[in-house]
Amino acid sequence: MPQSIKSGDTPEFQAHLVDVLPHLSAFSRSLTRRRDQADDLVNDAIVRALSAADQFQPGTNFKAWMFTILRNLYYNEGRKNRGIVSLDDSDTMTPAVLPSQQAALEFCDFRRAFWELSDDHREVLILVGASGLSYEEAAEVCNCAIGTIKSRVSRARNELVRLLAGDNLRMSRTEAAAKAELDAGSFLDADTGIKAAASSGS
Amino acid sequence: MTETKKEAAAPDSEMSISDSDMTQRRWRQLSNGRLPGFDSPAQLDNWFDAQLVQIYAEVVSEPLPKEFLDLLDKLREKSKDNN
Repeated sequence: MPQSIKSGDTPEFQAHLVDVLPHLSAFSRSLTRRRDQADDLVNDAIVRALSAADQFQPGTNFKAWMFTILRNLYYNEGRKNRGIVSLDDSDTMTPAVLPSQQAALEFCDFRRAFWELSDDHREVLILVGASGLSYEEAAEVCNCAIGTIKSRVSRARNELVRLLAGDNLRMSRTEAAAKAELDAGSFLDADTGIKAAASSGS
Repeated sequence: MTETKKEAAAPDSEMSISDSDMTQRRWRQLSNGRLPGFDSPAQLDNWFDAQLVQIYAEVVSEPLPKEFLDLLDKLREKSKDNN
């Protein structure tokens, strides 16, 4: 954790930036759903962080601070509207090969449900459930109360259950597989949801 | 820049029933659904977390885009110039 950042020009600041960049990319992708827009957002967040490096409070969570900058850029500068995409247009995180077919099926369904959640719900699940932030840190990032974060997490999980248990997903596995093949030069097996190389003879 | 600005933050007001009731309800819904049953609500929440971590980890493990690396190189050069 950075303790004595004074300027964005320092090697220390840059080192911490490099460490947090993959996490920033993942958070950005969960907000925008699109790789190109996510990368643009991260790029701008880096520039903004460098210009505001003296505002970082030593001893606090650098990753949470960077997430806050990125989120503010997304919500406060018109990017949210610019970034609205339908699921059909999204370039979302694609699944890797999973150890078992059953796990792959479950993960495929979970992914589709996750991308159908609202922005607020995706955001809070990634912050608390995946990125490792505490409820308190997530509340700082989202500029809201801890209780709000907790209730959003609960509602997001309920919505996931509604989507998964009721089979209310807009895209079927087959459609998701066809979409992935068109988008990424790779395909999701319609039965397993497992990503495989498309260049091997097809 | 004010990164610490707080929005009006009344907790979301859907919680007329308790968190544990909600979790119990989620567990029952999924147990009756097409996903495999879970032995406890906690197990369901753990499963959710594992799926989220998987989604997140896939992006974290991707190589950094070249534009980020170029930007960081420029910063390092600028830092050297300043020293």
